[in-house]
Amino acid sequence: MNEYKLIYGAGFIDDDLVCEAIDYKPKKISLAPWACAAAAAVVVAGAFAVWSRGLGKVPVESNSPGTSTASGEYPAFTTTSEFPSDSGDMHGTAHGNITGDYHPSSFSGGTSNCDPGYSTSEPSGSEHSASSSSISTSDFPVTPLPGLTDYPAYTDQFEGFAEEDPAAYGPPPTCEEIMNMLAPDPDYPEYDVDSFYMIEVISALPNEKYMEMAGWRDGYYDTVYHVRLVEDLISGEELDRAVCVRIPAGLGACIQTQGDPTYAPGERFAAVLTKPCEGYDFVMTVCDYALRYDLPQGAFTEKDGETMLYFRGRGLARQPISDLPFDVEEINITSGFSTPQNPAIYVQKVALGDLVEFLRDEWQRRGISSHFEN
Amino acid sequence: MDDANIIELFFQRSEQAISETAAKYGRLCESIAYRIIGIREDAEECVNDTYLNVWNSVPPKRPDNFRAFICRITRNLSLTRVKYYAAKKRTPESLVSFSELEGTLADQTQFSDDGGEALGRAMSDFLRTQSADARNVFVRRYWFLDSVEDISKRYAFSQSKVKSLLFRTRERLKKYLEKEGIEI
Repeated sequence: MNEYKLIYGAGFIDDDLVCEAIDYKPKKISLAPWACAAAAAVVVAGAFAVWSRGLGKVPVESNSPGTSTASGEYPAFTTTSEFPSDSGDMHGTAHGNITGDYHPSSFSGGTSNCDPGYSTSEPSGSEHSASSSSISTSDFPVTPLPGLTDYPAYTDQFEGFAEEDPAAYGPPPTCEEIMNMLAPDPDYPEYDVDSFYMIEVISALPNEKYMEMAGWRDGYYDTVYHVRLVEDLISGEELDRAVCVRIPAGLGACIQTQGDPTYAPGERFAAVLTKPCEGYDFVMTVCDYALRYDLPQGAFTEKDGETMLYFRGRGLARQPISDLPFDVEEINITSGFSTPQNPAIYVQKVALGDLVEFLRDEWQRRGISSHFEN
Repeated sequence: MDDANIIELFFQRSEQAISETAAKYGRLCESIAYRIIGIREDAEECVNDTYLNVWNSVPPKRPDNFRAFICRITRNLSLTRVKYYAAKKRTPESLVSFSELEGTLADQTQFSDDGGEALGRAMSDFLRTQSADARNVFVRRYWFLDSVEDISKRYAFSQSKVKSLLFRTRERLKKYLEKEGIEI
């Protein structure tokens, strides 16, 4: 549409619309009371406390047990990667290629030399924290979240693919099925939906750290990331909050789900997250198989001013929703950004705004998420 | 002073009308003009020209909505100034960022006044069917010519939300205008 004509035509709109735009104050979506108290205390303070320990403020052994996992405390952790080289190169051996052809191959077995007890490079906390300063407040040392240039160098640790059973997965889900899955269930409060977030990866936790946090998931394929919540996409609120997020894909950086590789530091994706829950030191993605979308590095993520999201489908476990009520572009491209040995496979492109509008409307109707609880 | 009294001063040809208008609407007009033109001195000139325009048109006009009336005059004068720059191939730095204006205002393709009014009426009818957020973001962008960043700060929205609202409102407007038989 000719935008000059829009500007010209807008000059003739009614006076009351002009005045409304001068005085307009958008209504804010207010969080449920529990989120203000519990999330602020548990997620923010706890995550900052862990991050400051992870930066080496308190020396951490790579295989040391985590600290108390009582609600509000996250275990200390080390990153899986080496810290920045002098060149400041953030992505060690990662490659940023987006290519257009993907030819599915059979899944490989899940064996590898990735021993959960393997040692990571001990972070030299003083080097990494050189760009960060610490402010102590009350009982928690608060350390600012790193800027993108502060992120540790990423080392590709791919060793093999996770085993998968193609028979375990059915046809692609429908909107109704997904919404039913997202609806609150009193028997499983740990899966209550918080919101739909834009998330930036800080690092993937070493597997042994995750097992300490959630040993009951032993045997399942999960990767836990330390991330920054960048935006609550439902409310539009910009954030700068660190949390740990569990994603049901791969087993750390070594054993990876084919087509759904471990995220590298700095990568962004959008996902539905659970509320913090007592007894859990991380939040989780919900309906991850259908509602996790990437903002892949090197891809065209802007179209006519709209942000475009890419869906990772790998043929079986991750399946895009079959009846989304807005335009969906079918694609078939790969991205070897985090590891060229297991490129992400993108099968669908959607507009962020369409997806957010759809989720917001559905959640409001059904009383899903912290924003619309009944 | 309320608008009715200010208008009355214009009718009485009292110069106090100008000072009262400046006191009440001077900042608003300056912000509109500066956002469009981007040069402080030229924006101030436009605002002064606005007062002169109002003086010359009230009376006989008695605007129903004095605030919108003033803003509209400022906007039109500012756009005329920008068009002058474009025609003279002088592009103040601030204009470079507003790509919709760059290179197009020199274009002589214009609606007739009737065409513009019909489009404006259709856009008004359309905007009233939209959500308040979408409507006001749209008006701030295309009437006030705010940048996405300006709108984001004004309404405390993320920039992605502003872009998304604009994109989808434009798409819906396009479909609406096609249905109404208005070409754009």
